Amino acid sequence: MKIFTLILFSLLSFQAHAQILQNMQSAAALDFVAPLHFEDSAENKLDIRSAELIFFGPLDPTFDATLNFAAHNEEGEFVAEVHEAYVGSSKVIPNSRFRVGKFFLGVGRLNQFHQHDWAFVSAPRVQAAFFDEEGVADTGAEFSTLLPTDSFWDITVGVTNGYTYGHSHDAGEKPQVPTHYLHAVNFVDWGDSGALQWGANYLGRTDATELKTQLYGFDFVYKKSEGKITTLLVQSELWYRNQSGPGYETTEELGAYVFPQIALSERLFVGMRVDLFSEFSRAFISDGSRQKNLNYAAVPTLTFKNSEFSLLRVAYTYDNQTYQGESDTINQKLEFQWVAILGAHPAHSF
Amino acid sequence: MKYLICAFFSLALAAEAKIKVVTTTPDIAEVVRAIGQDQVEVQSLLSGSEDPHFAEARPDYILKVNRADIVCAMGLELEIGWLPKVLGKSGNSTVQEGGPGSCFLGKSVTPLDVPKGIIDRSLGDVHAHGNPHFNLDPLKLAEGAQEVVRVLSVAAPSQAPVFQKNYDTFKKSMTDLHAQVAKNLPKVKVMEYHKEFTYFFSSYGLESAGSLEEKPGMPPSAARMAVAAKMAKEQNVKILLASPSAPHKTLERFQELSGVKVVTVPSYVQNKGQANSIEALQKILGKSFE
Repeated sequence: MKIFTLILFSLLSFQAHAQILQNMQSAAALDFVAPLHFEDSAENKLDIRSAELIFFGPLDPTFDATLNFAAHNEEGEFVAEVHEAYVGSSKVIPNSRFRVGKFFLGVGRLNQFHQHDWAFVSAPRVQAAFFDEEGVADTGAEFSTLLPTDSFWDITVGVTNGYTYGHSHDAGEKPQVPTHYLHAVNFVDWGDSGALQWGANYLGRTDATELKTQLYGFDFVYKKSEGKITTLLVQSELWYRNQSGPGYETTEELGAYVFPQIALSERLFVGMRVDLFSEFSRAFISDGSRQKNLNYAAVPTLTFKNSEFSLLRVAYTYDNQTYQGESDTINQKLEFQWVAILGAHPAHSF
Repeated sequence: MKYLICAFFSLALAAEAKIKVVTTTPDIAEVVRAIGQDQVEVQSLLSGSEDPHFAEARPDYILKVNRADIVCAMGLELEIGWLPKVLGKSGNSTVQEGGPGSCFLGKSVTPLDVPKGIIDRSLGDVHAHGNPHFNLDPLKLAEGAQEVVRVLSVAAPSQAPVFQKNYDTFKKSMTDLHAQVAKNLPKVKVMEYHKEFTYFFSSYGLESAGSLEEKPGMPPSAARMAVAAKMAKEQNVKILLASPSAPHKTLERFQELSGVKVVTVPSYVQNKGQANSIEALQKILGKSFE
């Protein structure tokens, strides 16, 4: 934390005094969350889920750079870490862009956005299970190109070290096959009826213990806007994961979420997320036959956007885990969130 | 012989090739067409019905910018939420800010409402370089058009004198339009919902009692509505202009409280409907005072 503070003050004071950094933009994002679990109150408290500092801007006439520190409350202590630190350019290779360094992998939808930019408070089960709640950031290289077609086709490929996967505080181990991924994105415009962006994804990795992980997924975002308001948003992801390897039982899991949201006014939005998750490979210990199971959740969410720089959100989660032959496990919670953005104007991504 | 034919067609194609210009708003598209004429092929990202400040970095915008030789925007931070992302994802080095195909009309405009003193978000979503809604003043639009002449002349240096000549014609047409609209505008006291009609009021010498939004981008509270309505009555405000994206219930409530006529009018040229040109939009704005 001391290092985090030191870096912050050094950069801010440098920015304030050095003419050369006039074009470096900076922003801070505070994400306060207060969960109220119905079944277990041990974790019920107002917490700073993350405090982020972001610096970005042109490095020189050719390259841009981004540096993002994030501090999380981990068992009472704020642990600051470099979330993203990369150099990239869209000026070197025609129709293309690339980045080298540490970044959130360019796959899916949620994985590409910081948590405070999500349309809901907490991660759906599929995100938490496959991308470790907050998303997977790793060090490597990513290349994206726009195909020379009449319709929008943006293809992203990336390879990262893969020593770790998800949130980690150790160096990990050298994988057999590094993390590699592909994301193809298409866009369909229906004029006044809205627009849809959808993507097809693949991610693979074989870790040091030869556990091979393969993820296949689709992501969808539909938006209909009037004036300055997104009157209807529908966001969804569907992922399938297969894990296998010598000494491992093959596991297959399928998960999805869909989140429709409508605008009640310029500042008030209501949505309902539905989550589904199932372990296809789950079997009864007794006879090895398949044990049917489904984890489903309903998460109504109300968002009040006070401005482009702060929002308040409340969500109720009803989560039911069912296993054939066992009684259901129900978890319910209320979550309150307050997001505050200081500094540079946030980007309006589709 | 084959080579000669190929060379001929290549030269013919080169001669035919138009400068592909992408603009953020239809207003700028019209300016570029007026100056570039048959040398340019222009398309606007926005249709005019959106609020250009709240637009998003849509993939179809990225595709259009990818294929462009020039990108022209209002600037003054109007498109700050989405245009940098569109440019960054386009993979087109020519149109990046500072590149030969980058054009911000706001750079050649002397802006109004430049904030003084400490600028922070407690002032609302304030634009540090001044009010970016200069498109509603034909004279300011002509000022901004100088930037279009500059960027087109960089793209096609041999055509620079033609672009300058076309600019002179465009500037005269804007001056004439201004004079025509000014003739019929009553000199009454006015208000606006958001400070997007400020240039229109200023250009035509209409005294403004300010905006209903106390701070840019922040919908007025009930207390603000009451104060603004009282002030509007006291100052004999005759009309409040608002764009279609302003909250209708708020406008109705203000009209009830103040008795001031509230008129919803487009604040940008629109691809569809009656406000389909700079002239048409100016006349619609002028008629709203009748």
